[in-house]
Amino acid sequence: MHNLIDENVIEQMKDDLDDETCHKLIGLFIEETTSLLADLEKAFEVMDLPTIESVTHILKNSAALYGAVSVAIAAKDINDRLSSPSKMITREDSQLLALINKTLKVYNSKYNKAL
Amino acid sequence: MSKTLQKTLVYIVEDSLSSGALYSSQLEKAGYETRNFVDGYSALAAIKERMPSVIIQDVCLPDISGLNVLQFVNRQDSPARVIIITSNSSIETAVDAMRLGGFDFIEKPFSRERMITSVRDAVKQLHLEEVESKKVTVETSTTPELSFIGESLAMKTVFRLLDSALRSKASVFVTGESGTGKEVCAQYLHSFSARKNAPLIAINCAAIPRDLFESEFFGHMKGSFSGAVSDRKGAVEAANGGTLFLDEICEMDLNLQAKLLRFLQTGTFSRVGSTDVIQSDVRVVCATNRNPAAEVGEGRFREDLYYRLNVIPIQLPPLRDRGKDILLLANAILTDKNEANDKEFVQFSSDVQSMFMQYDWPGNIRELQNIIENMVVIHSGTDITSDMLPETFGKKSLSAIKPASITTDSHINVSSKEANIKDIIPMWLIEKNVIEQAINICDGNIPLAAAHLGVSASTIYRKIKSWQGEAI
Repeated sequence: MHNLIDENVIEQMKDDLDDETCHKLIGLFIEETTSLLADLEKAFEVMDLPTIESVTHILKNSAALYGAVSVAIAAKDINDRLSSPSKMITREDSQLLALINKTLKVYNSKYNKAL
Repeated sequence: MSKTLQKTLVYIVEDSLSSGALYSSQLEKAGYETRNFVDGYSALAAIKERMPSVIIQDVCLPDISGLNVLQFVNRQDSPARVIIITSNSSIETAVDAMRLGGFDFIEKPFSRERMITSVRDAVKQLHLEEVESKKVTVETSTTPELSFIGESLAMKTVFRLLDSALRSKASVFVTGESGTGKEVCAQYLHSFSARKNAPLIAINCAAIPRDLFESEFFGHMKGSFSGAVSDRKGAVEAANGGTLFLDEICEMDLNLQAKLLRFLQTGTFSRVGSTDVIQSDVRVVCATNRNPAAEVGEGRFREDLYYRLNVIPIQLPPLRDRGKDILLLANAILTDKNEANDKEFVQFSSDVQSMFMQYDWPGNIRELQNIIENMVVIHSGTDITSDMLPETFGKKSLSAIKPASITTDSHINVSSKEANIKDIIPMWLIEKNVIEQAINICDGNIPLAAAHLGVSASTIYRKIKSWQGEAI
C-alpha cells in the first residue's frame, strides 16, 4: 500500500507558490475530486465504462499533480486497462471509490483549514 | 520579472479545473498572464477574440479534440505556439498533433520547470520570427521550396511535413536510403526556422568512437579522463538555441541512447566529470538509412527514445520512385555543374533522358550528381549524349560490371552446383579489383578513373589506404 499523500509535492508547491494560492488550489482539487467521486460512484453502480474511463483519465493526472499518489496509481491502472482494446475492468476496481474517500478526508483535515 | 514576460498571454486548455489552475498559478508566478479553459469551444471563442502568444493544449477534451483547436489556431494569421500536453496513452495522437504544427508536447504529469521552459522557448521563437518577418520584406523573395526540387507526390508530402516542422521545436526523424538528401533536410529545417542565427551542429554517430561519444556529445571538464586537457563544450551545449543534427542515429550506443533520452526529457545535462546541471535548448533532427522501427524490434534502439525522436517522421523517397523529378533534378544539377566548370551544356539528349528514367539509382541523388559532374568535367558541347555516360552507368548488378579477370580467376560460377561458401569473394576485394582495373585503363590517372567510376578521387585514395591494412 502506498502512502496516501506525497508530502514533498505539497511542500514543493508551497515553495513555488505562496500559501494563499496553495490553499486555494488544494481547495479546488478537493472540490473537483469530490465531484469526480460522485460521478465515479454512479458509473461503477451500472458499470458505465466510458464515464469510468474519462474520470480516471482526469484523476490519474490531477491526483499526481497534487500528491495523491495512491489515487493517481490506481486511477492510471484502471484507465490504462480501459484504454486498451480489451477494456478489462473488475468489481475490485470499485475499491478506488473508498481510496478516494479516504484520501479526501486526509486532505480535508490536513490542508483544507490552513496551510 | 521583465515587462515582456508580464505581457505574454498564455491560454491553458485542460479539462481538469484543478490541474489547469495549478499550471496557471505556476505560469503567473513566472510572470505570464493566463486564462483557463476546461473545454475546446470556450477556448476557440477566446482565441477568436484575442490570440495569445502560447496555448497549453490538452488533447482529450470533453467536447472537441484538442487537435481541432490546434488546426483552427494554425489557420489564423499570427498563430499562437501550441504546446500539446498529453497522458501516456495518447502519445500517438500527440505525434499527429506535432505533424499539424504543434510547437512541443509534454507528457502528463509534468514538472513546473518542464512547462515553463517550453513556454519560454515558444515565446522566444515567436519573438525571433517577428523580428525576422520584418527583415524578410526587404531582404529576399527566396522561398523555402527552393532548397529542394521535386514535383512528385512523394516529395510534396515531404515539403508539407518540412514546412509544418519549421514552426515547431518537435524532433524530426528523417529516414531514407543513402544519397536521398537527409542532411539537406536538416539544413533546410535549420536555415528556414527561427533558430537560423544559432548554430547547426551535426554529429555523425557512426564516425565517433564509442569511448569519446559522451564527451563529444555533452562536453567534459579538464582532467575528467586522460586526454581531457581543458574544459570543452560538447555538441549539445554548442548547439544551444539552434539545431542538433544526429546523422546515423541507429549507430548510437545503447548507454548513450539512455543519456540522450534523459536530455530530451529534461532539457538538461552535465559535462563528463562535472555534476553541474546545464540547460540547452536545441531542436533535434536525426537521420538514418536503416529502418528505425526494425532496429527497435531487434533491441538495438530504445523504444522510448524512438518515440521521443520520431515526433515528425519524414521518409525521403528513393530517386527511382520520384518519376519526372529525376529529370528536374538532372537539369538543375547540369546548370550548377556548368557554372562550376565553365561549360555550356544545354540539355540531355532524349536517349540519356530515357536511360535516366529507367535506371534504378541505387546511390540516389548523390549518384546522379556524380554522373553529371563526371560528364560535364570530361566532355564539352551543348548536348549530353549517351556516349558520354560513364561505362559503369546502367549496369544494374554487380556481376555485370565485374572485370573479366575476376570472373575467370575467382572460380565462381553461380549456376555450378560445386560452388560453396569458400568461393564467395569479399565485397571489398571485388571493389578493389574494379577500381584497380579502372586505374589501369586510365594509365594510372586516379582522378580520371574516379570520374569514370562515378565517385570522387578522394574516395579512391581512401579506399587504397584502407586496402593497405587488409591481408590479401
